[in-house]
Amino acid sequence: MHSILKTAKHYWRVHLIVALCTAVATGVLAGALIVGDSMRGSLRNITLERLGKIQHAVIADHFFSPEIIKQQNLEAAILLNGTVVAANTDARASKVNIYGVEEPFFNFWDQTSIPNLNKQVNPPFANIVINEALQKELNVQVGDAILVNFPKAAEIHPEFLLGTRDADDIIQSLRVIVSDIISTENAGRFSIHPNQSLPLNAYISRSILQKVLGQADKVNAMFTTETVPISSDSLTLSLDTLGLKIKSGENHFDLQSNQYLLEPKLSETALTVASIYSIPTIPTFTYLANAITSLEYGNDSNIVPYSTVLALPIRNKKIDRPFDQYNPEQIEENDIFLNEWTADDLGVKTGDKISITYFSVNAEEEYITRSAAFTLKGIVPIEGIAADTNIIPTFPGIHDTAGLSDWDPPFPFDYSQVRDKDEVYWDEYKATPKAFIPLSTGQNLWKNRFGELTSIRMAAAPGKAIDETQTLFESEFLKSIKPEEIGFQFLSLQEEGLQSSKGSTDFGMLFSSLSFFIIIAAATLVSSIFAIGVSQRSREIGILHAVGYKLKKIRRRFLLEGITIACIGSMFGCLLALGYAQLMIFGLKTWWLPAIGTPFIDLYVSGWSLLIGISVTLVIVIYFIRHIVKRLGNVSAAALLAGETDFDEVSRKIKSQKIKNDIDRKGSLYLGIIFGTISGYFLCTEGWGGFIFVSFFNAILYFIFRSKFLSSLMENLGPTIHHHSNRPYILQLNGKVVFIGFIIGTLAGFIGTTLVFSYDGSHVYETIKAVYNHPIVRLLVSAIAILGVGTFLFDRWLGSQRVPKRLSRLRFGLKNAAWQPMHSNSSVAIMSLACCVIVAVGVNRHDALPETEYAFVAESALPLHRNLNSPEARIDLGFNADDSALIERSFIFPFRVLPGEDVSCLNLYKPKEPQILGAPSSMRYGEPWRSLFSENPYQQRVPAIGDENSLRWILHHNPKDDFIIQDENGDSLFLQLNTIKNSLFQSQLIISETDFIKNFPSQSGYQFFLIKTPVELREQTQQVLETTLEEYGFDVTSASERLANFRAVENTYISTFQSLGGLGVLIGTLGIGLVLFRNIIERRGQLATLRAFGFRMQLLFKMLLLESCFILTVGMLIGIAAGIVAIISSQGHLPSFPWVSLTITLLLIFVFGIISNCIAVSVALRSPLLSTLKSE
Amino acid sequence: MNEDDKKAHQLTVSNLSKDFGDVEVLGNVTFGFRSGESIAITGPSGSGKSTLLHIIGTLEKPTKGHVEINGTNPFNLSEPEVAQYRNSVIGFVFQDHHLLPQYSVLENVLIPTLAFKPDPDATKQAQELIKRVGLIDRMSHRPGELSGGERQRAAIARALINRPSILLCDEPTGNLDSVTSKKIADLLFEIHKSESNILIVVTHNLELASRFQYNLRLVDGVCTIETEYSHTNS
Repeated sequence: MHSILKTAKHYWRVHLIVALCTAVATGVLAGALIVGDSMRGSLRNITLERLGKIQHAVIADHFFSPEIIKQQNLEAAILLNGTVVAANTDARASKVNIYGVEEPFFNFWDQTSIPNLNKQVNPPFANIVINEALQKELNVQVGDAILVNFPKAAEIHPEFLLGTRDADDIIQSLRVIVSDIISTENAGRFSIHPNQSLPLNAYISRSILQKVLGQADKVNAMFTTETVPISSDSLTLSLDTLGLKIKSGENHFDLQSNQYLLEPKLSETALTVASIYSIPTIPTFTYLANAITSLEYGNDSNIVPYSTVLALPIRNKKIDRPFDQYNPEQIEENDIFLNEWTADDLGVKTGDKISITYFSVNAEEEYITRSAAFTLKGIVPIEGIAADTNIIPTFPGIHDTAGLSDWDPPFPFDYSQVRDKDEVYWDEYKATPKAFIPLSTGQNLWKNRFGELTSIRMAAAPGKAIDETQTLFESEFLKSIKPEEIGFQFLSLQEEGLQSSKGSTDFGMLFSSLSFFIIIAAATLVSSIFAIGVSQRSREIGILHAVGYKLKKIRRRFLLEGITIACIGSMFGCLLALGYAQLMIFGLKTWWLPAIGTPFIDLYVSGWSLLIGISVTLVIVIYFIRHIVKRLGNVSAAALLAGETDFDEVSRKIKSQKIKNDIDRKGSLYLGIIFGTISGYFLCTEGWGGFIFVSFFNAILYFIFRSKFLSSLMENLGPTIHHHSNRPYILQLNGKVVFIGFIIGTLAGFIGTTLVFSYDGSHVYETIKAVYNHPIVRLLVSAIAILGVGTFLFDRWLGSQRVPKRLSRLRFGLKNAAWQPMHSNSSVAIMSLACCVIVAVGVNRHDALPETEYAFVAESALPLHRNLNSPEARIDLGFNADDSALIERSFIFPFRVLPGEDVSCLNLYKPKEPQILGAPSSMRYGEPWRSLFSENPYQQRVPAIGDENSLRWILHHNPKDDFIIQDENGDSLFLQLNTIKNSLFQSQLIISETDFIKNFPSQSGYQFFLIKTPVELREQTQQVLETTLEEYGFDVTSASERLANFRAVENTYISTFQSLGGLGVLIGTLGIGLVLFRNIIERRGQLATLRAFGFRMQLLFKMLLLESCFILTVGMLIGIAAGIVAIISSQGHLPSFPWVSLTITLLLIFVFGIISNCIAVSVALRSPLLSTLKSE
Repeated sequence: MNEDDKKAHQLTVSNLSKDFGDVEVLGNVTFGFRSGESIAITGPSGSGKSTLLHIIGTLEKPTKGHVEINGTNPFNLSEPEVAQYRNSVIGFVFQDHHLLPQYSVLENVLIPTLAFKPDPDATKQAQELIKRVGLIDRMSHRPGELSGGERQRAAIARALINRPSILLCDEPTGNLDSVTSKKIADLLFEIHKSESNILIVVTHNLELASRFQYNLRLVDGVCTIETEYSHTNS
């Protein structure tokens, strides 16, 4: 060890550079891994900060009483999304998280002082606490008034006939006073969804929100700090929680819903439970007819307006009075019963044709008037079930009115139709049904995604009183319902948050890959420097050899020396790693900010990253050193003592011709046999077509193997077996022997396949064809082919012996590159590979603003229920005539939205539940939308569209596999994916609207819009839409900009790669400078000869520089050509070329290369040359 | 060669000394030679033969003394002038030939013409020289493909391309067998006769040395002109 240190001290210059290069490699690798640590650490930190002590939560899509959860230490809250407008400035913020909480909620965070939620600042207005992020958006201060808009808690679905869809009916506005502004840390950062961006949060007293929403004592979220998850078992369901009620009668009871229609899942469960316990049931469906009309000639002008029609199972079972006189089997599908009042009014008799006119709501939420024709089966007295209003659920806006003319229904209502006698009927019978039809007929006419029953009447079970039956039913029914099926979600927020904070992209691996060139360049430098160091000490090695040191011992001595230096370098590299990571983090916060969206990242260091960085670098560096040290054995002691420094040259001299020939022949034969066997297999399975295809492929591989490119890389990067022809043995292929091997292999492959395999292997051919057609494969094949051909031609040129007509200085200088063809080839190969990668990656950069089919993408914080393409709807939504005319010039495609996580590259967390869009049927005729609307009733899977990159890299999902999500009932929904690329839809998955409303029936309205607008109207249209629909939080973004935002991430990665890759190549050019330096040292004899013949130093300098620049230029040109050809081959065309950035990068490399070469030549020429000419 | 070409050349060395630190390699060496004269420098190893040759060839500077070639002291010239002087006046043939392996024979021979403004007829002249040295069939070959004798012939051709006044040869046959050595020596004398330059050869080979007009013997840095052979080279 002492001698090693002494030697290290003596050769300190070389060792210092070796140590520095090792330190750089370690620093870069460990630093890159630390970037990954920092990303994960920062995301984790945000998660911990955003959730505080909250461990678990129960979230529901409806309001419920907190008391139903029997668990301690729960804090109730109301979570809403909405928009906020500053009263004074009209500044607006959408996508605001509105939290209805009480002060204990803030105890989830240790350092948060309790903000002023309840002590009124400006009575009678309520307080609102906002975080700094929202305050910056609104530019408000404590005491300022703001208007908060959020969705009303509607019981009836807005898209049902009886649902309300006007803005006033669905949006709740609340004027509040800012009472406190909290920092965007701790509680100010609270969000149940992970995202690195700062949330816009507003906090209002829970009790005030409950009052405003009409949900006294109810909430929609509960949080706990307990580590034990909230179990669904701890939740005690009640009919009220389910939005159900029971109307008790004398000898029956009716199960009905607050939402008018019984949800399908609930009605199905109720009927199942009743059936199990033999409870007699009468399921009914009550609907509102606009008119009942006689179709008989003579009295066809008689119309009974606005009547209740009851559909009940009269064809299936015997129903009590007044239907007990009719045999169910004799009642037809289109039979109708009218009560006496209606029959009299219409003047109809049994057997007459009756028409019912009613509204239905189509998918676009428009009221459509429809009619159905019936035959009057009977006229029934108003008694029994025909007189029972209990069976009719409450019609909101209708039920409790004093008269028909007081109705305030959500649908269009023609008051002129209402006659006096109708008022008299209302006074006497209220909503008592006037007509009765079979249940199945009613369901066919009126059923929708919200339900197909309005009431289930139940009678006493056999042997039980009606009270007992009701109790039994209630209890068993509630037991049969799982909370998850009715919109409750049990979330382990902390655990899931920490899980997703591992991130969708491993930035450690990303930066390690991006820093690949630097690491390889540094390791190559180590190799070159160490080789120079060993060369300098050739006499020392010769002396050691001569005095009896075994070769093994000498090698070990040098290896140990190298390892010691590398270890010291690696230790120092740890410090560099911190600096490099800090630099990368600074880059991410500034130059490459689009890659992470917000500058949230801080430095986090893991010991493992340092250890991995050190270990991997040491392995690589020691491998290179070992490779150099191994070459010591190739040189005789005499040669070493004579000052021989070129180990390769010596090794080439001493390798026997026999070994070379053996290796070449065997290698050629084996390769030929392998190629032949593959071709033989395809000849057998695919015939001559497959044979020719594969043979062609083999031929390309053969020429690549023969090319100088791979051999040059091997020479520089790995150990090679040398012989006097200075080529690695694998490339010294003998064409004839390869051909013989190919023939043998073909026969063997053909016969073997025929004998052994009997199946049709056409799928293999298809697979290979598909693999070849894959853009990446084509890119690689093209790049390797061009690089191979380029380096092959360069090598040919170096080896050419054409006698020139006239020798010029230029040719003389250039031809100097042929002195050590392997060195020149290595330099050209490395430079061309690096430039090829830089060009191929750089060409993918999209600097220009992309063109899109659509002008805008819009999102609304609150769902829109009106069709913006309809002039009437626009007027209803508040557009004035001019604005409406302007919007008329655009076409708007509305999408339904299932809230979920952003699955685009803009979200750094690992998303699990993507946002789902429901595409309108108006898009069905375009691509790629057509695939969503394929109608196949037997298709269990739902066609979906997803962005390929989002699926692969963010969701880490193979697009060929179905993506599984949960429908509204908690059942698995298999999405059959079609992929698109570089689209506007990188944040979501898309299904058809039909499938959307089928699987997510309770989601209402449209919140995502694609807008086509003429170019000249875009600015104006954007302004009008945002202003008029301000209440909805309607944000309009240029589609091009949105796409550009996605591309910005990709571009940033490319920029990062260009920066780091370029840095690596710059370091690589230092390596080329070192190779040049080594060349010059080894060529001192030549240079001295030139001096002896009158060459001035200046001329020598110019010639050497010309030679090195020539190698640099050839390498760069081959690489650039290979990169461009590869891109064209892969994409079919040359995409818009980022001339500026790419040219700057390449110019920098070229200039730096020249500078490093200048330095190398200057330093090398300083050593005395002429002494080498002395023979003594 | 016409008469104009055969102009007289004069080499004068007076009181030449060369030290390497404390070691004096040459001490007060004085001699003078003219065109058409051939000189062998002999002496034991380390006696300063190559150093003297290099000083005459302007590759090394003397510590003391004076060298004049055709009336010019090259050591008074600037670096570019020395280079040009060396290129036009001196021709070198080394023991280890020092041909550049990456170039063909023709290119190697042409190398000295590239140091300054290239002569358009240089290639033609080079081909003639190569023909003269008997390598016309090997003109496009690289040094690695030639025998030792052929390499030395190529080196001689290269040394002559600029028609130097003085041809300096440092052990030109040192690495060759006796038969090849004789052939190379014959070639040198033949060319010397036709070119009428001053031929100075450093050699250990006494048989070869005996063929020169003068034998300049160096012992411990002291020069004595021991023999002047009466016979002319034939």
